[in-house]
Formats: sequence, structure tokens, C-alpha cells
Amino acid sequence: MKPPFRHLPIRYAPALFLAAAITLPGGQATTARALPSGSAGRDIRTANEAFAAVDIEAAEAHLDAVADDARSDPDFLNAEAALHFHRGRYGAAVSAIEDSLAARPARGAGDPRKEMAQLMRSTRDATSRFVQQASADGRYQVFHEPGRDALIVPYALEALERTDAALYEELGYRHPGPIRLEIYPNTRALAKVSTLTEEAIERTGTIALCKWDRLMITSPRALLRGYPWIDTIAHEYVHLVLTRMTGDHAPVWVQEGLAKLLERRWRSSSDRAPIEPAVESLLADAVKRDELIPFEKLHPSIALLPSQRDAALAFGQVATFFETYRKTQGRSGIRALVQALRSGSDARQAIASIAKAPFGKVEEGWKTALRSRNRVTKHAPRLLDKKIGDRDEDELAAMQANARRYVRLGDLLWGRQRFRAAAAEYAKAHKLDEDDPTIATRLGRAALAGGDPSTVAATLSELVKRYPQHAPTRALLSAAYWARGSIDSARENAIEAIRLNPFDPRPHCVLSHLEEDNTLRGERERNACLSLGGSSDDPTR
Amino acid sequence: MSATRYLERLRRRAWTLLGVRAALFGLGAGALLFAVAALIVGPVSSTLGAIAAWSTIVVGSMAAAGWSMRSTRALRGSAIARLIADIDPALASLARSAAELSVAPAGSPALVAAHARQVGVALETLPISRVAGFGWFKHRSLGAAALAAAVAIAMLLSFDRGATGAFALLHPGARDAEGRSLADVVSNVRWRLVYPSYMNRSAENLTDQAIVHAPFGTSITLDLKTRIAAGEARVQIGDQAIRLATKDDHSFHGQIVLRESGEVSLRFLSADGWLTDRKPRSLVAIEDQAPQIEIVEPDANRVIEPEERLSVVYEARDDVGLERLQLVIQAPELEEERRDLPVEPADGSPANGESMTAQGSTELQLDKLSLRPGDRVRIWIEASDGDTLRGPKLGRSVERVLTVASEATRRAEAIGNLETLRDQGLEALADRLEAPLGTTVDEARQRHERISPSLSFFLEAADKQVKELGEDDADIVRGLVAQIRPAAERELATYEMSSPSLTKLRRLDENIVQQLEDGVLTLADRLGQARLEDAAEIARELELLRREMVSLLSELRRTNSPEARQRLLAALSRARQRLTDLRARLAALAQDVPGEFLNAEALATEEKEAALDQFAKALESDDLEAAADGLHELERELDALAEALGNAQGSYQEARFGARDRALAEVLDTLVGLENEQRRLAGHSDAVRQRAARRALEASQAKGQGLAELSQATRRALKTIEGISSQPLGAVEKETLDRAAQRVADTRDALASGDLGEARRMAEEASVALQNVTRDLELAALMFPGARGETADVAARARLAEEQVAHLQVDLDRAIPRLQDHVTGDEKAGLFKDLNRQQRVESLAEALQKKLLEQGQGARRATTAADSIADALRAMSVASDGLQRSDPVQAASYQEEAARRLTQAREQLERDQQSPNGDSSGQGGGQGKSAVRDRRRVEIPTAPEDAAQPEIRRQLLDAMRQKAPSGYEEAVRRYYEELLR
Repeated sequence: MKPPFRHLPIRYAPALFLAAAITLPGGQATTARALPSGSAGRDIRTANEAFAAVDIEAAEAHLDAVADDARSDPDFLNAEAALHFHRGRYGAAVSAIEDSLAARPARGAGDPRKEMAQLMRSTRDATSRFVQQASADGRYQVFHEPGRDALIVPYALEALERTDAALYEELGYRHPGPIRLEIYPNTRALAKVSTLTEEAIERTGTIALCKWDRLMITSPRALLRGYPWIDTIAHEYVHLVLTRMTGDHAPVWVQEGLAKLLERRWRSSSDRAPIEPAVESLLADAVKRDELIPFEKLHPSIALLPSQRDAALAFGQVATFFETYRKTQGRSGIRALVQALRSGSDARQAIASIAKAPFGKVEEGWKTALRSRNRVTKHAPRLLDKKIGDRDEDELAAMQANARRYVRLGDLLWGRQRFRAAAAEYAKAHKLDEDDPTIATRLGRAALAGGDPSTVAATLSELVKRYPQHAPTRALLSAAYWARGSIDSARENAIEAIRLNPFDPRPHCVLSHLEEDNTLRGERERNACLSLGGSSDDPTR
Repeated sequence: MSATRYLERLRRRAWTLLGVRAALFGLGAGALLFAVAALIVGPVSSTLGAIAAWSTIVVGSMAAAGWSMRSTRALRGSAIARLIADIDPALASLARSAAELSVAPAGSPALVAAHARQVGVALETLPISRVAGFGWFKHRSLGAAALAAAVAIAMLLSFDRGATGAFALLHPGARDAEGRSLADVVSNVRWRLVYPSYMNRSAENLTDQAIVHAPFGTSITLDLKTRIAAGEARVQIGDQAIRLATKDDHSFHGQIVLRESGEVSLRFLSADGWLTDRKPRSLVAIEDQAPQIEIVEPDANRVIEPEERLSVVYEARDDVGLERLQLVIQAPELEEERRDLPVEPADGSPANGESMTAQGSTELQLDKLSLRPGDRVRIWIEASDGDTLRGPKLGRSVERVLTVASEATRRAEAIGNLETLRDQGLEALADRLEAPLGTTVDEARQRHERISPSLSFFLEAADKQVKELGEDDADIVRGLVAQIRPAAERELATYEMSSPSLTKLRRLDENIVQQLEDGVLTLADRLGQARLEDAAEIARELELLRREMVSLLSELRRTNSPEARQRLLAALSRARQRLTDLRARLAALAQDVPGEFLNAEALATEEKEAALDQFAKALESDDLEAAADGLHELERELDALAEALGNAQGSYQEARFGARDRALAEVLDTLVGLENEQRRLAGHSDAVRQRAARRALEASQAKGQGLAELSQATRRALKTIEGISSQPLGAVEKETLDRAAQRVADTRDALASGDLGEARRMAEEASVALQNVTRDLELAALMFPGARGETADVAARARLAEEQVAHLQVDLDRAIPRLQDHVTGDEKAGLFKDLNRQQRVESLAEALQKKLLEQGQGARRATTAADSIADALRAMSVASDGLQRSDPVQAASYQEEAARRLTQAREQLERDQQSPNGDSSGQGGGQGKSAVRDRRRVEIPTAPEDAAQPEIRRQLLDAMRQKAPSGYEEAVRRYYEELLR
């Protein structure tokens, strides 16, 4: 069975959506019962096979070759709809599939054109207001709703371009282009274009997808604290490349492992898989207790694992497995694996063959590496849940009762703009639970507003090592370092903060001070700072 | 300096001075020539004439200057040295020879050089400015020039022709935008302004005004005189051109009506063609302004009482004059009422013609507007002026919204008070948190001086709020103050010590901070709960309105009358208002109640508004079916809202007050146990008492002291009371007399059952009641005996009844035997056994009282309940004494009293539990409160079922005889139910 959506769950919650996902109409055009006779029929069949292998260019070439008199055939129209759909011409796709259905109405469950038509309509409607921004050469195209999401496009284009180059270097493959990225304003829109239900998306935490030869992400403004959206774009891009390179034959665990391993290759030369400290702790603990999840249990989807902990652990496992694999087999080993998958080989057998050792031995090697990777820590960082929406009550509700009491007091004082007093109350809460980033960032925010950047740095500088993906921590640190004159640290944290939540004005305001006035980047950051309501005069505000 | 060089410098200076003098002389001459030329040329100059005039001026000036320079020959060559001669002739000669020798040396060069050196040295002592100084300007030529200039100026200023000629010479060929020559044509312009009649202003004359301001519609008459003869004159204002009437070739006349502002151009046809007068002029049309009105009183939106007479004070002004003033009133059952107000000038004098102000007041009787609590009345004042030209201008005051006082407004006020208090608490807390204590006592003292005012302010505000808040909120605040004030006083006392310990100060400060934190959170919790309750109440009001609308819709369907429609529209207006209130309340709710307790989707008001809109639209289009659908949809939405609010209240209550509730429930459980045990003990003692009483009765009957006489005396007294006419009695007297009659009847019943003790008590109560009523009636009879002495008669009868009952009491006292003598040995043993149980109850009650005082933290209900337990403890102590002495009467009586006090305490706490934070007390209403109504069946206890409660039964029966006020029947019934439970 082919893998369902390549998706990045923002939280690793158990999911039941997979059943729905598996039964979705595939990316390829489905073959109707009776293809036209002769060369037209052959071309359509070949085109459909090309769609299945995500070779859209080949499919297009075959469809172009179909003679004019066969172009009114429902199968051709169906394949043409698939082509339009893959190319992002959703209106044309709807027309074509409706023509196909008019020419030969769908009968029974074996003909998924009706469902496909519905998906195409939903996609057309969901993207009807989208505007396009593209790179200078037109290779990278970003589509989004007009308005605030325009702010993230320059960052997205830069990430796409650099990921493209990094993956070419790593895998030796270059997508023929154009590369299409769609940014949806919320998870509801993502549900519409994916046929996943909103409830399923909410439950599984799916925030981005790669299917139909395009990248789809939810705008980071749909989440309370954003998410690593820019790495997510890169992650999905790895899926896109792997899907094309393997003809969509890579199993989920290979896809996710390689995508995780390579998602930061565009901005980091480190060979280590980018695993959060919380997941590192999980891995260390699981190795120690011999509770690693067998790879076969990861099929068909990591999101189907029974708990958030298991899902996180599984991501950590596959990422570190390929980290070890790459260390032993090198870049050529990865390329060889991809090649073997394309030819239809089983992933385990391919790995064993490349490593010239039974898969079990390869797996043992990985476990050994894992044991030396990290030690079990007494106070492991907690797995942070990503919040969809804009209210933080759940975070408050999850706090310790005593700490929560002080946080409430701090919030009340903050509301009356008694920042130093608020900081004093948050400090009491922080003392009770020093590892809670929500409390720590509230303390940092109040201390910063009360003119005490030193407290911010002291409180958050250690915390950020444990929770590097907590956007408010990064943003506050950037402002605090800026206020203290630590320019490099301010810049580093501001950039990281934007990579997590580009809609927080503070890091933009910090960068606007650090960049040269007359540079494009400086202007961009200044505009972002002002448009988001920040204070370009004083980023600590 | 050499002589040659000296002489050269002298020459340059002399040339300069002479040049300036000549120029000035030339200018003087030129000025004179210019003035003469201007007089000759006049206002209009041809180009040729201007050239000739200017040529003459220039030539004349230059000639004069040249003449003035005639003496410059003396400055050439060595002759310049002559200038020195006026000061030092010898030196002049030497200088001249030195100069000549330098040009043509003769003799020994050494001698020449020596001579030159000698002359140079001598010249160095003579400053050049002394030789050629400013004194040269004291020359007659300059005097002549000045005279000429003065004459020229006088000529130009004195003669109009001179001034206009000067303009013509200075602006040869000047033209306006349309190419006409510009000239100083007009010598005099007179404007006569005749204002529009509605302004009632007298006409005005203006002369030579460059800018004329006049109201729109003013009639302007223009009279002008020209310097030159003109055959025709025109005036152009903006796009409007008017030909002026000619009086003679120098006088013109015309009239315009001012309709727009613009530049005024005066044009004349002269012998030289069309000329435009050079002076800029303009007319400014002033637009009539709309009247301005201010409602002085009420000066802001406010809450009003339904029967209030509201004084509306206003001031209005207009630049033209006020024509009409109207007070406009909008209320739910009032389409829009307009009341004319008198237009009286502010100072009592008639309008002065330029502007007018008026002021006055009017009274608004709100009870005439069919208002309901919570209704909004909007008032504003409109004023119009008397502009007949462009129609009256309408001015409108700011709108004032008057909200009829209701439970909602009172709740809002209470919430506002709580919020203010919470914020004051936060300020006091923030002051402490933001100021570190310091490292020395002096620093701590300074800090204390800085921060203590906010705490004092908070405590004072809390004291004030205790009087203004509802009972339960006041209880909470009282509890906070009871905690914080002593701590603050302790701190102050420590600071007043000569050398307090810093550690102790720190500890005290931390204590106050903690108290403030607790207090602020308690207030914040209460605030959140109050907001939830408030929103729930408004939702309920909305639901009631919806039901009313359903009913009115049915009526409209049936009657299709305009009245039914009007009432329905009024209900719709009210519903809209409540929805607006609800939206505001929910928005405020989100500030104080965390979202985890709120179901945002169910609490959104958009759907409800849409349902009301649907209803309104359907009503407008007479589609009553659709209107009913709209109401149905609204019902669904309101159900969801009510459920969401109910859930929110429940979860919030549990989260914020769960621990407190559980503690209270524990206290209540203990109290119920004690109460039951106390009742059982009272039951035992009472049973012993009854048995002993029966034996005592039997013994007394055996002694021949029957009860027949007592029963007869009782019946006599009852008959006397029943024979008292109720006609002259007031409500209070009648009630007291009824109570007396009931007590006498109870005495009779007790005698019938052989219970002499009970009969004695009833007779005593009847006696007290009769004493009261007799005293009142006798007083009344003294003042108003009645036409036929009815009141006096009734008073006499009451006195008789009182005496009969008093005798009965005496007889009963005599008849009652000493029960203790009739208690058997077993019964004594039983009573003694109960003594242990009684003492255990006493000890538990004491512990409970202590716990209650600790937990209640000064809250009024907890304190009251603790007081009731204290009363119970006193009764228990006496009861124990009775048990010890085997006195079943004393034991039973005080055990019952103790049980009653425990019940009282329990009821206090139960009320606290049901509405722990004041959702009911002092807030009226009661129907549909959030607390789930007790559905247990309520029965009035009867004597056989519960012999221990005869007193409650009697009190209840007394009370239930009273008729509840109209509209409160249900509330009164529920009250009795609660009492019975």
C-alpha cells in the first residue's frame, strides 16, 4: 500500500484519520472502465501511470500526444483534470472532471471521480482568493490569502530556494519546477483541500501536507505560538523530492525519517537529526528501558500510534536511524536507498543490501549509537502541545495549582500595567515550576516591560536550550539581548523566533535595529515590525 | 606709509564720498521729476507717455548727479594733496612735492628718498578720514536733494492723481488675468449690506473695505466713484458679472445678492479701453450654521427610577435665531414623541439680531412612558433656525440614554463596585511588590510611607463597599478586611516602635502581601462569578421576552390589530436591547472568566441577533409564519446559551469555590448530625415530661383539681376575643388579636390533651399579645374614640380579654404540679444516660463553632451561624443541668431551644451554600436562579408526625394566614417551603 499524505503532525496525538486518508482518491487520475482504443488509450493509460509515480511532466507529455478526436473522451477529461489539479489550475480541473462526469456519470464505488470532483471544487473554493508571489525566476511560487500571510512569503521563498539547493547536493535530484507552496489561513482550509475532516486535523495535529505535487502548510498565525513553519516547508519539500525520486514508493517511516533528518539541511551543516530535547529524553529513556517501537509498527502512519509520546518517540527513532545510516553509508547510501526504492525494492532489504549486513544488524548499530547519544536526565523537558487558536487558557489550566494562582495574580497586575509587580508574581510561579515555559515567558515579558532585561536573559537563556521551539522564549530573548547590547545573540534568537512565529512583532523590531537601514532585509523587518503593531523605536515594548 | 601711497588712498576715499553725494543728489532730483511726471500722467498712462516720463526722470537725475561731480578735477594727480592744505598747508605742499618727485625724480635720489620718508612720517600722523570725512555730506547739494525728495513725497501723498500716476509709472503695462490694463481707477467704494429679513438685522454701510463678510443671501448695494471718466462699469464676482448703473461718468451704482464667496473685480470702459481697478477686493458669503444644543442635565447617560420625574435642562444657540426647540423621546412602547420646548432667550431679552441663545428646562415623567425595569429611554433635543432662504437648519443635541433601574442595573453597579475594589486591591499589592523593603530600617520606613496610602485607600474603599454591596459580597469583603486590617495595624505599630527588627518588618510585609493576594483573587473569583450570574440573568430575561413575543405573536395572528403589533414591536425592541446588554456582558465576562470555563461558540450572540433580525424582517413583511420560525430559532439559541452559562457557572464554581464548598459541606454534615441528635435528646426528655405530666394530672385529678374549670375559663376568654369587632382595628392590631386568639385556642387544645405545661406557655403568649393590642387600642381610643365610641368599646373588650387570660395563667400556675415528683426511677436513669449524650453534643458543637469562626474569616453568615451555635451551647448547658436534676421540663425545653438554634445555624449555612456569593440575597427576583430548585415535596408538619415542632407549626400557620401581595404569591410560597425544609 502506498503511503497516505506526507504530513507533519504538530503534535503526535493518536489519530484515526488515516482510514479516511487511505481511502482518499489518489493523486493520480483513476482509470475509467473502458479506455479509448488505439494510441489515445495507451497514452491516457501511460499518463495515469505517470501520475501514480508523480511524474507529472511525463503525464503531461502523454496527454499532449492524445489526438484531438479523443479529447472528449471521459477518461481523457479525467486525466486532464488530474493534470490541471497537479498544476494548480483548480478551475480548469473542475471543468474537466465535470465534463468527464457529464460524458459518463460515475457508477459505483469503483469510480472515484465524483469524490475527486468534490475535492477539486473544495480546493478551487478554498484557494479562490489566493494571490501569488514568486521568486524572480518563477521557479518557486507561493500562494496565500491576501493580507497578513504576505508577510511570511519572502522567508518562505528564501527557504524553498535554499532547500532546493541543499537537497540537490544531498540527493542529486532537482524538481523540474515550478514548486508550488500554498499557505492556508487555518486548519479548516487545510481540511477542505485535503478531504481530511477538521476534527481529524485538530485531533492529529496535522498542520502541513505534501501531495499532488505541491506543498501545503497552515499559516503559523493559526496557532497560538506558531510552529516551526519554515522547517516544515523544508520538511514537506523533502517529501516532495523523495516522492518524485522514488516514484512514490518510499514507506512512511523512510519518508519521515529522511524528511526529519534533512529538514534543516538548508540552514545547518550538522549531520545530527534536529530532535527536540524532549524527544531526545524520550529516546534515551526508551533505549534504556528497551521500549523502542519496532519499525513495522510505524506502518502505515506514525500518527496512528496510540499516544502522543509514542508518536514523538517514533519520529525521533526514524530520524536518528537515518542519522546513523547516513553516518555509516554516507550520502551515497541515501541515494542508493532512494534508487532501490524507486525500482520497487523493500526498504529493509534495500538498506541491508546497501549496508551489506542483515537489517537487524543495521538496527542494532543504530541502537548502539542511540545509547551513546544521550543520557537519561532526571528532569526531562516536557513535550509541548501546539495550540490551535489564539487563547492560552489550556496552558493556564495545565499549570500547577499554586503556580497558576501566582500567574493569575501576575495577569491581573499585567492588565493594570503594573509590570514590575506582575513580574514579581510570575517570579513566584516560576520558582514553583521553573521548567514551565509559559510561566517563564510571562515572567520574561513582564520583566522586559518593567525595564529589567537581565532577568529575562537569566530566566530564559537556560530554558531555551530545553525548549528551543518555544517561540515566545526566543522572541523575548532576542529583545532582552538587544537591550543588553548582545547583538549576535539577539540576532540569532530573533531569526529563530521568526522561524517559529513570524507574526510576533518583537523579533522583527529587533532585526530592524540590527540590519542596515537601506538594505532590503532591514526595510522588510522594519515594515513587518510596524505592520504587526510593534515599536520600531524600542523592541522591548 | 609713503606719501604716494597715502595720497592714493586719499584719492579713492574722496572719489567714493563724492560719488555717493552725487548719487543722492541725482536721486533727489529724480524723485522730484517722478512726482511731477506722476501728476502729469495720472492714473492711466500710455506706454509712450511712460517711456517719455521715465526718460526725463533718468536724464534729469543723471544730469543732476553729473553736475554734482564737477569738482572731481581737483582730485587728479598731485593736486589731491591740496585737500590736506585745509588742515596743514605746509604738509600739503610737502606731500605734493613728494608725489611729483616720485613721478619725475629730480636731484639726488638719496635726498628725494629722504624727503619722501620725511613726508611719509608726517602723513602717518594725519588720518585720511580727517582729510576726507563724512563732513563732506554736509553739502548744500544734498540739502537740495532732500528737499526735492520731500517735495516729491508730498506731491504723491497730497494729490490723488500723484499716487495713481505713480502706480501707473511703476506698473507700465500691468494687466489682469484676462488681459485688461490694471489701473488705480476707483477712488471710493461704498458697500451697503441689507441682511436677509429672517435675521432681523439692520442694514450696514462699509466704505473702502477690501474684504466684506456677509451672510448668505445678503443684498449688497455698491456705490463707487472713479478717478477717470468711464462710459461703462461692471462688477465681476466669481462667475457672476453685473453691469453697474451710471450716475455720471465718474459715479456708478449697482446691487447684487450674495450667493457665493469670490474675488470682486471692478472693470471700467475708459477712453483707453477696458481697465480693471488694481485694488484686490473680495466678498465672503457666510453660511448659516445649524443651531447647537447641549443637554446640561442629565449630563451623562444614567440610571433612572421608573417613577422618577427627570428634569431636563438645556441650552441652545444659533447664529441666526432659534425658531423651534423640541425634546424627542424614544422608548420601547413609544414610537417617537416630540415635545415643543419654549424658545426663551437666555438673558430674558429678545434676540439681539446676530445670534441667539436659549436655555430652559422641562420635566420628564417617566411613569407615563409605560416603562419596564431595564428599558432604555433615549432623549435628545432638536432645534431649527429661521433660515427662509435655504430652509431651516436643524441641530441635534447629543443623545442621552436613560436606563430604567432594574435588577440588571443594580447587578451592574455591584459588579462595578467589586471590580473597582479588586483594582484598588491590585494597586495596593502592586505598590508593595514593586518597592523592595530595603536593607535598613530607615529605607523600610520610607517605603512604608510611600506604599501605605494605597492600602489605606483599599481598606477604606472596602469599608464603604460593605455598606453598598449585596449581603454576600459584603460578607466576602468584610472577611477580607477582617484579615488585612489587623495585619496592617500590626505592621504600623511595629514601624512606630523605636527600633523595629528588619526581619520582623519583612515578615509582616510578606504577610500583608499574601493577604492582599488572597483578597484580590477572592474578589476576582467573585467578580467572575458575578459576571456569569449576571449574564445568566440577562439570558433569562431574554427568554422571558421571547415567551412574551410568542404570546404577542399569537395575539397578532388572532386579532391582527395595530395595538398587538405595536406591543410586539415594543417587545422586539426590548429583546434587542437585552441582547445588546448580553453582548456587552459576555465581552466583559471574557475579561474576568478564563476561556477554559466558557464555550465561546454557544456564548456568541451573532446567531441570536440573526434570529431576532429574521423575526423583525418577517414581521415587517407580515410573514407571521417566518416570524414564528425566528422565535423558534431564538429559543434554540437561548437554550444553548443557558446551558453554556449553566455549565460555565458550575465549572467556575467548582474550580474557584470547590474547596470552600467542600469545607462548608463538611460543617453542614456535622451540624445536621448534631441537630438530629439534639432533637432526639429533646424528644426523649419531652416524652418523659409528657409521661410525668400525665401522672401529675392523674394525681391532681385524684386530688379533685379537675381541668373543667380551666377549660371553661379558656373558652370564656376565647369568646371574649372573638367578640371584639375588627372594624376599628388597624392591620397590625388585627394581626396581633388573631395571634392572641390562636394562642388561646392552642391553650384549649393543650388542656384537652392534658398538657398543662404547654397550656401555660400558650396562655402566656396569648397574654403578651393581648397586652400589646390592649395598649394600642386604649391609646387609639383616647385620641379617636370613634363616633359612637366604637374604638373605646373594642379597647374595653380587649382589656377584659387580657384580664381573663391573666387569670387563666394564674389558675394554670396553680394547677401545674411539680413534674419532677412524678418522674420514675427508670426515667431518671434514662435522663442521666442522656446527660452523657448531651455533653458529647455540646463538646462537638463547641468544636464546630470554633471551626466555623476560623473558616468563615469574619464573613457575616458564618459569624451569624457561629452565634446561633453559641446560643445553642448556652441552651445545651441549661438542658444538661435539667438532665442532671432529672427535670424533664427544663431539659426538654432547653434541648428544643438548642435544636432550634442548631437548625437556625444550619439554615444560615445552607443559604450560604446555595448562594455562596450573593446570587440571591438583596437581589430580588428569585425565579430561575442558577441554584437548582429543591423539588422535594413540602408538607406542613403536623402535631402527630413531629411532636417536637409544635412551635414551628404554629408560627408557620400564623404566617401563612397572611395574604401575599399581588404578584408575590409564588415567591412567598417558596419562602415557606424553604422554611419548612
